[in-house]
Amino acid sequence: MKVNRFIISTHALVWILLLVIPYVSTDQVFNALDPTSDSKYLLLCLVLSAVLLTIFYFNYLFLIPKYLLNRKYWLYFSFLLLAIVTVVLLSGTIFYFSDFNPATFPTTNPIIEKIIPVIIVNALLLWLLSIISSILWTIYNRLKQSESEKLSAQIASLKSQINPHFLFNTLNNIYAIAIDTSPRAADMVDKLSEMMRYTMRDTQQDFVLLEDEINYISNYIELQKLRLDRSVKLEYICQDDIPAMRIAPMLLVPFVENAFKHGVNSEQKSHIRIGISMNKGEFQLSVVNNKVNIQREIAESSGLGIENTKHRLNLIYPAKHLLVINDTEKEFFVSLHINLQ
Amino acid sequence: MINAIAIDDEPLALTVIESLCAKSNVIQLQKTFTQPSEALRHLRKFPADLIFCDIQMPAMTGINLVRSLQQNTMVIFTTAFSEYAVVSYELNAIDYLLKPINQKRFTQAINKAQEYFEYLNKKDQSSIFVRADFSLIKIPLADILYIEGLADYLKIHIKDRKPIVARMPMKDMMEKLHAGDFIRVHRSFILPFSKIEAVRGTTIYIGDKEFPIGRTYADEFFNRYSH
Repeated sequence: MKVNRFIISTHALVWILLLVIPYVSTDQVFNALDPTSDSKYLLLCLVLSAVLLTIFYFNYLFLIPKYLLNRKYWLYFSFLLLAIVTVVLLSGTIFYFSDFNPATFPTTNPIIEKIIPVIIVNALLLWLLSIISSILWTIYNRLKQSESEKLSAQIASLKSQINPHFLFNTLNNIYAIAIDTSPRAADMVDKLSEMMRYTMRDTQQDFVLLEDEINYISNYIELQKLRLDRSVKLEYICQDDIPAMRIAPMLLVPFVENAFKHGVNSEQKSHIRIGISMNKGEFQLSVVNNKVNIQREIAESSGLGIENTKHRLNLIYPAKHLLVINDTEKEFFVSLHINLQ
Repeated sequence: MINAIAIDDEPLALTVIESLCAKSNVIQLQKTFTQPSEALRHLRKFPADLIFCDIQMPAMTGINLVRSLQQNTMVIFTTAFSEYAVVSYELNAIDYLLKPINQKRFTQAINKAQEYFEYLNKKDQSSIFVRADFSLIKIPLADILYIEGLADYLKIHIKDRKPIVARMPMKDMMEKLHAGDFIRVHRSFILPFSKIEAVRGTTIYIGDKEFPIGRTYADEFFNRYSH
């Protein structure tokens, strides 16, 4: 276990609070009752503290990791008991050989006689507390550790899935094989690579070039075309000269994806119309598709994209965008205007 | 024609460059290499005008390879993923291409190389090349309105274009402009001499802009202006 300064100082602080405050608060009382035994009381407190600390750290650093965490409960509890007994005997011996004999107290002051049991109960409670707290502390640490291990394992597995160098080198090799013999395949690999690069790299930024976002959509539509049957009529009109403006990434894509998700069923006539244009600083997207029958399980999972996008539009372009969604029985119509200036 | 070689540890990646160069009538691809050290040996004997160079190679990174080359070799980096863009900018690369390289991007890079090639060979003195925004930008001298010096970099104001910010001291800029029409009138201003419309006291007017004349530059300026 790594010990760092922060942990050491936390421990020290807790112990000081736990041990010094009871002493300081009761010291006054003792002093008032019997000034002669004051230094002896300090000794008593020191011994108690030492016992407490020994039990806590013996339990925390040795017994818990060795037995409790290895599920050797019987061994753990017997060792713990043994430790307590040893410590009690040890401190008892110290008391016995020192002149600090509890038996001398009642003679000096009868009130102290009543306090002694309280002190003993107090000490026992503190012991209990130290044992329980050391167990709880260990459990908490374990939990935290396993949580962070789980997280880093997840990240590592995600990273290994998408090592970009491997991915793009491989796509490039497929591209290389196809480039002279089947240029159409090469072109598709190129488009797919552009899309993947966009999602992996550019979307990490807050704003991207509008041209790049539109390029992603164009690539997406080109690749979707390969999947479509002749029953689908697809119109995509995009203005040629896109000004060098910036837009938040992936704001337009969900609407286009949605059209293909809900507008395509090879058994029915489908019609998708997508238009992108710029009017000075104002960007315009319109997507229209007629609705086809789609089995519910597929359809249900798709609402999130649009809801999420609405939320993002409100956050990023407050009072600078106009989103109209017209959801009728036959048709789904989206019109989005954003002022990018 | 620009003589070029290509270096990439993956042979298939080289076939892409071969195929693209074959379609170009500007680039003559002499040879391709999968081993950087072999390419370096070859370059010592037969210097090329342009090299296409992969960045991530196990034996030697493209960055180190280019560092050991002589200065005026043009470089186009090819890379699978783009985290090296900044470095290629520092190494004075012409461009960097992301794999898979498509025809459009390749043509763009080649055009840039060709323009720079002509500039290097003094065929074209009407423009300068400035490195900014991770690429090499061609600026026709006639379009420069004025150049403004800021702390470590300078801002080139150009007709009908967004100003270009480049990391370069004013002194180097003056050398690049090979004097000609340009004159430094202030610690932080270089102006095209022929565009100056009026001078009143120690203020120069170009269009609706006003520029102060610095004390150290005043003599030279008035000397030239009065002639």
